[in-house]
Parts: sequence; C-alpha cells; structure tokens
Amino acid sequence: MSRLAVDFGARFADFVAWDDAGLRILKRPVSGDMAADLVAGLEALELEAERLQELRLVTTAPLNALLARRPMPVALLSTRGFGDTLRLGRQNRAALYDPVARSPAPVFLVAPEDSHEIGGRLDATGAELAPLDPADIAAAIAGLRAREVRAVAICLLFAHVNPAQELALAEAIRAALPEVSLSLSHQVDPAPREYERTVSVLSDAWLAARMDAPLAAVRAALAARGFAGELLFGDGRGVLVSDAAARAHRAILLSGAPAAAARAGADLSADGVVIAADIGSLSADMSTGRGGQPGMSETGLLAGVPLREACTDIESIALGGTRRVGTGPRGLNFDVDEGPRLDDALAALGRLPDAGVWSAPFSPEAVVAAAADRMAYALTRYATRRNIDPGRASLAVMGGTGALLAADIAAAMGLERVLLPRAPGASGAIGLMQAARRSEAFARVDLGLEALSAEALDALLDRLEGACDGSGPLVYALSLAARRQMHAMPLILGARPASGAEIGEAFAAGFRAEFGIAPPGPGYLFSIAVYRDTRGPVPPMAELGDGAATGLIATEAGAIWCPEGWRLSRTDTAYRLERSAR
Amino acid sequence: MSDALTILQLRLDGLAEAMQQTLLRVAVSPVVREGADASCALFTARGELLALAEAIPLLLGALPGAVGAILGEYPADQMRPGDVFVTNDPFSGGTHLPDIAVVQPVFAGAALIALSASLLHHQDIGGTRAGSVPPDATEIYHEGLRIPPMRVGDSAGFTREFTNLIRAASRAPDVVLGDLETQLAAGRSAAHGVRRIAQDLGTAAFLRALEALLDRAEDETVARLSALPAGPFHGMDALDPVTDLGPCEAHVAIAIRDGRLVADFHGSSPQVQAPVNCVRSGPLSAVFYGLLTLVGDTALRNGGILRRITLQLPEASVVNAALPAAVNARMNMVRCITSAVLQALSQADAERMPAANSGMSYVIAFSGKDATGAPFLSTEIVAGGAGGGPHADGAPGISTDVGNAMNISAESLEALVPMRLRAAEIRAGSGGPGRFRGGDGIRRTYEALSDGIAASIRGERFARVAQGAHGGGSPKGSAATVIRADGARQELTARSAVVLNRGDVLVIESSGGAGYGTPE
Repeated sequence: MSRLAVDFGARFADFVAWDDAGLRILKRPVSGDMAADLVAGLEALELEAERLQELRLVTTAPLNALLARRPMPVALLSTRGFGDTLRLGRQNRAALYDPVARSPAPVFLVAPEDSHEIGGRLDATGAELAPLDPADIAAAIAGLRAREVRAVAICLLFAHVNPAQELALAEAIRAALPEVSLSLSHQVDPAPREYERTVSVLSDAWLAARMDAPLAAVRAALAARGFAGELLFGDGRGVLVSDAAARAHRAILLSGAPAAAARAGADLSADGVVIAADIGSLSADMSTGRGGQPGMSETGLLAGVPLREACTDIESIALGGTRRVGTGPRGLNFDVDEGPRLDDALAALGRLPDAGVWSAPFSPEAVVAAAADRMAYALTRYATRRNIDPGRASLAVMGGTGALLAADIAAAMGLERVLLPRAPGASGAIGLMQAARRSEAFARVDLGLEALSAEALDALLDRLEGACDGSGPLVYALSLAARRQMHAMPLILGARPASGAEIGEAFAAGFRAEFGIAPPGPGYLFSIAVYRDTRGPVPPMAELGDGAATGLIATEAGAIWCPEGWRLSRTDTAYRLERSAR
Repeated sequence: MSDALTILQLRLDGLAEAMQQTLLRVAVSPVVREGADASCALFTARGELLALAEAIPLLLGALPGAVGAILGEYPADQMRPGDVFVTNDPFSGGTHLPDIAVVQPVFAGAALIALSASLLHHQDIGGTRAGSVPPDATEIYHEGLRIPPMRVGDSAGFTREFTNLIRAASRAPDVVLGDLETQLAAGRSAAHGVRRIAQDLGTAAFLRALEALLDRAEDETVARLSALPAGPFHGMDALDPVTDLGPCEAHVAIAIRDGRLVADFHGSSPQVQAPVNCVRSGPLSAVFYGLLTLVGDTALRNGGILRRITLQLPEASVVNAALPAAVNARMNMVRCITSAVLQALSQADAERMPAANSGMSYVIAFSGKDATGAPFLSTEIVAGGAGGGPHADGAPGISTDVGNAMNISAESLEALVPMRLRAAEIRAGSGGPGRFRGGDGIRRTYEALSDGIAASIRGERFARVAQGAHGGGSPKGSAATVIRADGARQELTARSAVVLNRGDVLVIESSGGAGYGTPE
C-alpha cells in the first residue's frame, strides 16, 4: 500500500508517493481542473487509487484566488445595525506613514449588495432581547435568490455565547435555498469581537464558493476509482486533519499549503532555530522552526485576510519566479506589470532552461541580486520581529525558485551556509509526507478558572480524550486569558490537568515566563482542545549524484544552484550549501 | 542590502515592537487592549530616539520629550541599574495626564547603553471626572495627578510610596498599577534584548553603531529634504468656534533650509480656558509624522530624522500651552496642527497627497456603577473619514494621520458597561463630494441600560469642517445627540458631559473626509 502527498501550486502540482520500496516524485503542470490533474498524476505514477492507503492534499488555488481579489457569489447576514462591520474593520489603517489611509479589512470578500441585516438581538450573556425578524429574513432570501448566491456567511452578535439565533436563521435559509452552502460564525470561530468573527465566517463562505465544487470533484474521481483509503488535508498548523475536519473548517484550505512547506523547513531545526523561505512562482513565504517544530501564531494573515486561529507563523512577500521586474524610485522592484520575469533572469544566467534574448535595460545579475536582497531584508525583518537573531539562526531556503537563489540570499545576509530540505523543488509535498496526522476534539468552556470544578473538568477531558484516536501522546491545548475580556493566549500541557487551580498555576507560570509579571487576573478559560499526533515512517533521502560540484545540481525534485566558491553536501535529512574554505 | 547597520536597526525595531505587543496583549485598560493607545521606543543614553514601535503617531512626539525631561532631572551618570522613572507631566515633555511614560535604563555591566521607554493611556489618574479627561476642565489641576519626572522604582519594582500615591489618586488603582507593571515588564524584556545585541557586537562597537545609525538616518533625511522646494509653505486649521472661548487656530509656515525642516507656528492662537490646548509634544508629533510620510517606508526611523526638525513655537499658545492650561482633550488640536502641516507639505509634494481627512476623532468615556455596585469605565475612540484622492475615493470610518486607534467592538463594550450598541454604521453621504469622494464618517448609536451613566464626549468638526482639494467639496460636520427615554432630544456640543439613564439613546456622528477634484 502506498501513500501519496499532492501539493497543487499555481503552475505545478507536486506528487510525492512513498511506500516500503521508496519514494517517487512527479511534477506536472496544473490545468485548473484539480480532479483531472490528480487522476493524471496517479496515472503518470502508475498508482492505483484503490491501493492507496492515504491521500494527503494541499492547494494554493484558494490563496492565489484571494491574492487576485477574485469575487465569489457570497452573501453575509449580520445583526441589524452591524451590516458595515466588515467595511469599518477595526478602524485602523494598513500603513501608518502612507498619506492615503487604506483599511486592512478584506472588504472584497463580499459585495455590498450581498450584505443583509437581520433584526433580532442577544445581549452579552446570550439572553434574547429581540427575536429574529421574519420580514428581514424573507427579504434576505429574496436577495440571495436574485443574486444566485452560492454560499452564505451568518454572523450575529453574541452568537458565540448563544448560537440559537444563528441556527434558526440557518434553518430558514436552508429551507428556502437547500443548495446554498451555509457558514455559521459560532461554528467557524466561536470567540468574541464581531469584526474578527465576521472575517472568519466570510472566509469560510468564500472558500465554500471557491473550493466546494472542485473538492467534490476530487472526491468523486477518487470514489470512481475505488479509493478506500483516507483523504487527509494539510492544515495551517503543519499537521494532517481528516476530510471531515476540512469540510467543517475550510480555512484549513487557505493556510495548508504554505504550512506544509514550513513543516519541511521546521524539520531542519531539530538542533536549534531556523528561519525559512519558501520561494515559489508567485510569492515567498517565511517561517521559523525551533526544535523541529514550526513557529506558531494565534492569528494569521493570508493574502490580506486575517485569520483568528492557531496557525504556522507565516509572512509572505510578493517575490517569485513569475514576478516581473522593473525599475522604481529605489532600484529594481518586483511588483510591475511589464518587464522580464525573475525566471527569465535565472534562465539568462543558466540556472533555468529555455533562455530567451535578454533585452532589459538592466542585467540579469542585477535582477537576481535584487531578488536576493529583497528576500534577505524581509527575512531579517521577519526574524527580528520575532526576537530571533538572524545571525544566530540557521537559514533554510526551499521552493523551485528558492533553490536557485539560496546561495545569493545567504550571501546577502552575510551568512556562510544555508540549508535546503530534501527535494527542495517539492517542499510542500515533502512537508506533507513528513507531517503528523492529528486527531483532535474541541470544546468551548467560557468559565473563570475559579468556577471550573474538578469533576466538570474530568468529565470534559474524558469526553475529549475519547474522541482522539491514534497512537501519539495526548496533548492539551487550552485557550485562556487573565480576565474574560482580555486577549486569549495559548497554554499547551503535556499532562492532563486535574483542576482549574492546576491550570491557573500553569498559566501563571507561562505568563511570567513570557512577560515577566504575574497575570493581572485569576484566569478565564475560553476553550480546551485535546489532540494526538501520529507520524508514519518516511523513506531515506537519496544520495547526491556524481555530477559537477558547482552549477545546477539535481535533487529528488528541483535543482540547487551551487555557485563557484560554494560547496553542496548532504546530511541525513537535508542539503547544506556553504562557502568553500578559502 | 543587509549591511550591519540595517540589521541593527531592524533588531532594535523588533525589540520596540515586542514591547508594544506586550502592552497590547497584557494591558487591562480597554483603550489599550482594544484601542491600541500606547507607544514604545528605545533611546540612546543621552536621549536620542533609536527605534520606535508601530504605534499611534499621535504619540510620536511624546516619548522623546518625556525621556528628555527625565534625563534633565536625572542625568545619565546618576542612573543606576534597575532604576525606574516615570512622568506624565505635559509641561515636562508629556501629552496629557492619563499618558504615563515609564523609562528604564539599560546597562551592560557598568555602562549605560540605552533607555527603554513606554507610554500607555491609563484608565484613571484622578481629576474631576472618571477617566481623567474632563471636557469641562479649564486648568490642569482639574485633570488629575500630575507626576513630574520621578525615580519611582528599582530592580524590585515600583516603590511602596509610588504605589500608595497611585492608590490614593486613581479611581481604578488596580487597573493602573497592573498596567504600570506591564510597562515595567515590557522595558525589562527590551533591556534583555538590547544587552544581547551589545554583547554580540561588543559594548564599544555597539555604541559606535548606534551613532552611525542616527547619522545615516540624518543623512537620508537631508537628502530627501534637499530634493524638495524651499518654501515657505503655509497651512492653517482651527477647532470649532466656541462662544466666549476665543479662537483655536493652528498656523504653520514650513521652510526647507540646509537640509532642515523648519516649522514655524507663530500666528497660532493664544491658549484657551478649555482642555483643547496641546503642549510641545503635539506639534512635534505632527511634524515628525509629516516628515515620516516623506522619507518613505524603507528609511531608518530614528532620532536622526528628528535632528533635522526645528520647531518654532509661540509661548502660551494652543500649540504650545503653558501652566496652568488644561490639555486633556488635546487630540483634536494635534489633529488640527497635523492638518495644517499636511496642507503645507502637500504644496511641497503635491502628487502623493489626498484631500484633507476629517481632522477629528471622538474620545468617548462611559463610567458609573453597575447593578452590583461595582464601578465601570470604558473609553473608546471613534474616527471620521479619510480625504478623497489622489487616485481613489477616501476610506470611510478610518483613523487618519496621527491617529490609528482601533474601535471597540459591540461584544467587548457590552460585556464591560451597561450600554447597548444598537448600531455601528458608515454615515452614508457624510464625505465631501468630488471626483474622488471623501470617505464617510461613522454613526454609533448607544442605549443606556441603567441609570446614572456618565458619558464624557470630546469631539470636533461640529461647525468648521475640512476643506476640499482641487475643486472637491467639504464633508458634513460631526454631531452628537441624546434622545431621552421620553423622546426629548438634546443636541450636544463638541465637548460635552451628560448623564444617561435607562432607555436614553446617544447618537454619535463623526465628520467625513473632504472631496478631491471637481465632481463629474
């Protein structure tokens, strides 16, 4: 039985298949039809779907569609008086010193004419102050029908405290428009602050409109070929979750692909700290790894869309092989519509095939140097913002374009060495192969720690643990704050807590360790998740060939550019590119 | 790119930003936790700005003044490891009394190598009204506890005397002391980071590098300024006229001379007996902000830029108040000054500048006692609209120029105070007309859920609104109305204090931004 990991990118899909006999990698151009591309990949690898034990998927398609600000037939239903919540955002602006004030709110997620207000109100305790207004519901349904909306996001005030009105509204919509996908804020992001929850639930609806059909086609194609294994998705934390989890929480589809590559980078950090760049065709994603684990964040920002969920701490810049380069007021830049691509410069320098005639008013060497400089600056800024000294950390670079620029980036950062994961041209799929399968269960608690009885905690943990299968140790991920109204912080426990007091002590210790002071409150528990991670074996890495010591050096997937004066070597799990001794 | 100086600046910026994030994540006060009303920075031992967190630009000028005042009272050679200094004195470099600056020296061995500084808007520091921003104050003595530059702690933390003082002066001492602890913790964490960098480079080399950083930023600023015409460029803006108060006008003439930006505010109005005056930190923030919009996003942002700013300020004026002026509502005066500065700079750098923004924000505080008798207090900031142009309509309901405060969500507000936010909407049609319309303002409608809720409202642009650019029109002015439970309407003025009872409704409307270009 084989396992297969597939990373659908903007231009190529990377397939990594492995079993006891070893590992095979295939890179194919994508057609835009994910199911057809998957089937073609299976055939090219001579894999029978019915003999696949697992299929692991990530795709950058929704992320790229978001980057392109592509509109989707999505509607938003919100509490009367709060239909402008998305447009008003948090009132802050994106760039402090730009004289033109621009909101960072992702207003493109829904057209103003598809936003409907619904009468009805809960108070802060969840008590109903006014029932849902049937006339508003009828008007909204008429609007949804007229605009042929495919997905509806519902975000009502205080639904995270009491979901009854959201559920009732959903029921009314479902009865009238059974084919429409529904996303409910209390299910997608059950936490306070209506703007953030609106963005979360709208993202889910946007993803439903964009991705439900192609993923249904993938499932149908697999079923038609007798696939009886497990379909897993890479999620934003760099782990694998079930198909059911991905259906329930579609944000996974947004952050899964960059997180999979970050997972590959983090695997190089077993002995310390790594800062990593995955440079693909459109964008470069930065991440960190420490002790083999990717750096995490409680919130994410993907394609300008803020995500309020634990995810790999990734920041992206617009730099990739297909980005066009032109001159700006401060030298070469990569956000122009006309001009040669970075790939053209790499080809002109012999790092990619198919070089055409280079006719730009600047040299390809200057383009590559500018790309390396831009990446080096961004990595330095990214690392220092996370209190990581780039001079003390290891640098890891991957991605098809990254492997051709790794030495240049290291040189621009003043480093003598850079690591590349195995098959750096397929790092997302490799990350998927190396990722653990996570089985987890989640419950909202919403209680002060002093009010949490040991018996209630015991019963809750019994239930959550019972829902986790797999073989790894149980981990307890709590979300809590010093006081109810403060921002939630994560607390990860490797052992089952016995009481609210024990949780409070662990929280206080963690708080002191991070901030140097005692928490300004007794502790308030928002939620508990329990999970197990299970990792399978992966095949060993291939030896380097006996080819040239410098220039383009082939790996299992993708070539590494080793310039004169540098040397490429191999460890058990990675490549090391370093300056030759002088 | 990555020359050693750029990396050093990024590392210092990262430390300042980490301080800021600590305040925003850990502070108890809602206006900090939700509204981001705080600022952090690192300074050299002689008080030059080294690195600045991405915070509200209104506070850009606050920390350099506060650090300077502390160094004036406690010279660097008298500082000891573990020292903690504070001040909130507007007349010693500060802003207004709720903004307490905490400054801590950073030592590497016996050498003082830097100072960390943070400033946070505290919930209550005494005075005649809860929240310490009384709209009816006429002198600073009405506004709360004024703390001159003082040494108030050591490596063990704040002294008992200082905590006792806060306990005696504040209506919310636990919250204030908790947030002061947060500032302390942020400073300690930054000190650890600064020491590590100094250790990496060697202390002497580190100190030399700091000087080089400042010199480079200064050189970049000189180069940018030298590319601009000399001027002078004039700007003027004013607060709404108030009967018997006298004018509150900010006039500025900006000249570029010898790579230096000279901002002359003579002609601005004398200070007034209302809390709208601002002190020197206000025009400094406005001019520093204006210069930062000119130097570009890759410039080194440190005190090297400040070296090229000269302020010429009339004494005892609304832009440079003297004792005993009241200053708690100075924000809209700073907004006026910034509008005047941006008007002037737009003549020097016309292509990048939009029409004037709303030039205002509301600061609204609700206080009282809840059903259990426990006190509550919540402060929020409500923005207006952005100016239209130069290439698109202005954004609605957005913090502009020296503001960047975030709003408070209904779900946070209603969990804190017995108020219901009935609506938070874009105030459609309030932006100025133009080829590119001004952004609309905001309308927030609140309902009181209990009796005796004190509402303090400080707004602006009720009468005098922003002017359009290149043929664009002016926006609608701000308005604030109370609709009593019995239906009686009460139109409020820009600075009002009212008591709301159960069923009363308060409607706050902010002004839009001005339009750009003749409407098509």
